[in-house]
Amino acid sequence: MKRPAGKRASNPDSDTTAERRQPGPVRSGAWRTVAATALLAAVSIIWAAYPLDTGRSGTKIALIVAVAAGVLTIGQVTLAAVPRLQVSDFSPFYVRSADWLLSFVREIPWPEILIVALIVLEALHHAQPWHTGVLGVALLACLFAVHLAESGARPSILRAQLPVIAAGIGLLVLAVGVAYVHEVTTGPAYTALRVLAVVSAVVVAGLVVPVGGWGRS
Amino acid sequence: MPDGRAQFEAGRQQIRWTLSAHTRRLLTLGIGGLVAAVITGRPEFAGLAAPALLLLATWPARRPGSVNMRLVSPSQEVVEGENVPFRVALTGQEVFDAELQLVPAPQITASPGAVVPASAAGVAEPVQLEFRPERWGRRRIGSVEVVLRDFARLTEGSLQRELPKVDCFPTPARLDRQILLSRMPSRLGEHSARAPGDGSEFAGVREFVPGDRQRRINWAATTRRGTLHLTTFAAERTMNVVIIADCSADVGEPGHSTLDLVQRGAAGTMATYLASRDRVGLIRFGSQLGWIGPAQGRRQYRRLMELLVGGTQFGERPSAVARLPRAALPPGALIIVFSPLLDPRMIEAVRDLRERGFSVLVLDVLNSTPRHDKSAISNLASRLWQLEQQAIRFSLTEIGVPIVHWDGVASLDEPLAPYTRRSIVVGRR
Repeated sequence: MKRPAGKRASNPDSDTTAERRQPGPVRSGAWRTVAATALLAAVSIIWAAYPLDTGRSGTKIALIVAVAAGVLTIGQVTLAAVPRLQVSDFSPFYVRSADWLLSFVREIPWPEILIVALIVLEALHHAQPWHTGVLGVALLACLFAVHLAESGARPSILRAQLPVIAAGIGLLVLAVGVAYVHEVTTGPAYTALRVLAVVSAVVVAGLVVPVGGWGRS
Repeated sequence: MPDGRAQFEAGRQQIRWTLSAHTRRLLTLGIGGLVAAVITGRPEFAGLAAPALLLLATWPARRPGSVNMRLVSPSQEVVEGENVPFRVALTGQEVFDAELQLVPAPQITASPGAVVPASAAGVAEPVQLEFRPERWGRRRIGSVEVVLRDFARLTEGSLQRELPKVDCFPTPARLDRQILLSRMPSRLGEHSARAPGDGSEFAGVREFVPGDRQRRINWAATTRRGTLHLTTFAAERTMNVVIIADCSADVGEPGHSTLDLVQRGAAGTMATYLASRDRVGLIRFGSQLGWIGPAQGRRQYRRLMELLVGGTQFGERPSAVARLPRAALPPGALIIVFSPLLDPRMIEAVRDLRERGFSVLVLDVLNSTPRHDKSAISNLASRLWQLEQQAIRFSLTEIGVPIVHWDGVASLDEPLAPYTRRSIVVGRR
């Protein structure tokens, strides 16, 4: 029997805009991705701020901005699953105020502000290169969590991008290695790290070349 | 088309491509990391930017500038509260997933959207979307929004196509039994009249007279009486029914207002009488007076509903009782009025119809009272208003116009039960 076309909407990997916009109960799965976003944002902020006393001037301001942006990012992804208020010119003042407040949370790109604040926070510290590398991984995970929470998609849609993500993390490791090479310029460690960097570059290049073939298997 | 639907090519629709929010965030991370690396001279920041930049490298370079959309539009006539399906077919989306959804207009509820997966051949199967109009009326459905996404969701292409307007008919109120008149016009129909005729319902037995048909001889009675007796049958006649829909006032809770009840009650009554092959006409008493003379059939039902829902643009103002159209009121017609009895012109029209000898029955659809605070003046005004309403109804009842109250929840059979059990006797004019 031919499958009805309408059933195609039940594709488990789909994140339909309609599901996102239709009023109704928030899906239970959405709360998990929102919770993951909150956890990853908190970890990233704490990691970038630690230790707070070693930062240069402006660290506290960057931390305040990061915390505010982190909280509002979580608010934004939470509101993505909540229907908008029905507001008209005749709505009461408190309804219009609530709508204005929710629009403020929804419209401003809080995740981008969070990213910039965390990079600034990390740059203001005298951190080890591996510390920045870990922050990079946490930030990337946080961005994907925001993406999944916002779109309502399942994590399986990232499967097609795994080689690219792996290649990117490989480059991140390579950069961290290069930072250590920069610090240790003589001796056998320098030679070993240089060889490791070359090998990593070859592996990463091998992953990057078939870009056109990814995603459609 | 046979099923009342129209298929039309929406043609090639231009797609507007934009960066997705995910891409903007990856760009921020990439550029932020590189800038930090340059300013601080720390290569690990370049590494922090690397995953984001690599993900952006999968950006789809080739994107379709337009897609072909074919819509099988919904039926032009839909009923409030019913789900209405329609189909959308896309071609030329290439390797992009397409998400289709209906962006509903006010008073329309849309079902969840559908996803058309990317197809290698560029031709996708049509998908079915649904919507549900929440209230009757001639209204916009909304537009179909299509969003194309690549596998990494880096870019989004969107387009919108407006759907045609539909006439949303009110949900017909239930009416199983009809009000019948004792005198019906001499036109063949389905109702058993008092007059003898060629129907199928037994009327009585009488003595045979020359000229009677021999096949109708009642042999049992003939044997018993010793003379020829004949079985007689009731004639089957049709009725002329005129519905007057008073759309001059709309009070009460939205969805259950007097206007909603007038529409639903009139629709149900018209459907019931037309189903039994009666001739039904309609007078729409609103800001303008529109009317359609009695006739039969499915086509008449559509005409009546279009007038009931959409009104008329070329009608006359119901400024005077004398202007109630004679052509819409055939002699001997049963007149059923759906009204909240708030407009004095309507009350005068009902009184005039009764005085002209028509059998009139009023279904009162007023289910609310004016809001008032608890002050003494307000209470007094409210009581005066109620007394005035009672006086209006009493005066109509006194001249022989039955008034029954309908709450819009129960079927029409309940308030009309005293009038559906037996025929309404019509006096000679």
